[in-house]
Amino acid sequence: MMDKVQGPRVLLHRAVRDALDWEMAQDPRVFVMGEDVAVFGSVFQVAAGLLEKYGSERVRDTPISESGFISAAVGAAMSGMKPVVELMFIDFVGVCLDPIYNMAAKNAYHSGGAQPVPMVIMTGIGGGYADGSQHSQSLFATFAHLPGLKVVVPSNAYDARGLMHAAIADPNPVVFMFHKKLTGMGWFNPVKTAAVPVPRERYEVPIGKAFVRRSGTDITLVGWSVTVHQAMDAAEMLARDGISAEVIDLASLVPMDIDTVIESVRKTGHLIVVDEDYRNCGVASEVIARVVERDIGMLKGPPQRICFPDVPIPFALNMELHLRPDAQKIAAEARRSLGVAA
Amino acid sequence: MTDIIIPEDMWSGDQEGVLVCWTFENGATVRQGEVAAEVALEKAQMEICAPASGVLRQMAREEDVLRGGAVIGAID
Repeated sequence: MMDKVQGPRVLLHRAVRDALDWEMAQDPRVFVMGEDVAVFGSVFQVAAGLLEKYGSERVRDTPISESGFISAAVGAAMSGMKPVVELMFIDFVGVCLDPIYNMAAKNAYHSGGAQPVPMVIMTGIGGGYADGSQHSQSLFATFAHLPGLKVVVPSNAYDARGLMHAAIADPNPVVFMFHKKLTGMGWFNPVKTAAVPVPRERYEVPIGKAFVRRSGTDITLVGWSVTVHQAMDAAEMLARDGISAEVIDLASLVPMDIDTVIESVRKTGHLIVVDEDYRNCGVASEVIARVVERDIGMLKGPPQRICFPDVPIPFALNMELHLRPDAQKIAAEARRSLGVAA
Repeated sequence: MTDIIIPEDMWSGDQEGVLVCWTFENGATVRQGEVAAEVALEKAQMEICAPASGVLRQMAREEDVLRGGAVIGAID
């Protein structure tokens, strides 16, 4: 487990690279493809040094044509390879959704299980650094909604490394969404708590398992990816008011470990879900639906969502941050839910 | 004592980079070749490895502006 690892802090993008390096060394079917992944090592440096080690057949720069190289990766996966393809920004998925949701996600079913599509789509998500409406989205719900895809959303370097190993080992297509502010790349003003010690040896973090990041008894805060860190900061603020918040990191959206959430809500009776994606029809709504479907009686008050409002993301940083979830908004909502004055 | 230096050829001329982070705490024991820091030049980011084994002494701080040849720390 993460808490027991000693050693230097590893930045999330280096942890992803180390996972790719390990898998490429062990399995000649694994290769990496995408815009600027080879010579530049990806704009997020998740493939840094792999070209020099494995050559241009296995680390491939592509033209700026997501429909072309995502389709090529789907075909390669159907033909026995294990591609890891980088969709640089999730916002670009519009031009290449067809091979993802109509072919990669469905082919194992179409073929009666005879021809699975073991590919990983790794993609940079999220905002909070003034990159405008077409480079700042998270689109969790878009992918979580489409059957046949697994969706993982690591919040730290340990989970990123372990989930990437698990994603490559998985026979299904996995969408590996890393938040740009968690990567440790300087130009995103990174969230420092995402960099944690990581073992040298291979390990997997199981896909579909949530983690309790902080134990508490008064209210349950559910997040994933960057919002876990916001919820942890909010829990610290609430503790100073004598409120004990439990923080759960979903880590995977599909499959979703709702049992860990329900176990927490049985204890606390109050639930806030923090989702950086748009509010309407989002993953936060799904979490709440699954909780109340199981047993509405365990709730002592209405569950709440803190999400990005249903508008395109503004370019101006002050306007963007006004709309994004943050620790202050979470703490304020928690106090309101519990009827505690600030 | 061995200085930890930003290589002169890490970027060209008088461009300025930034120390993004230290990966070890000040005073931690490091081994030669382990990544000790990361520096950024615009959107590129490079690892700075420990040049020797020993105790890390940080001299530059995170977010400090750096030029090629800068001494950012030492291994005692």
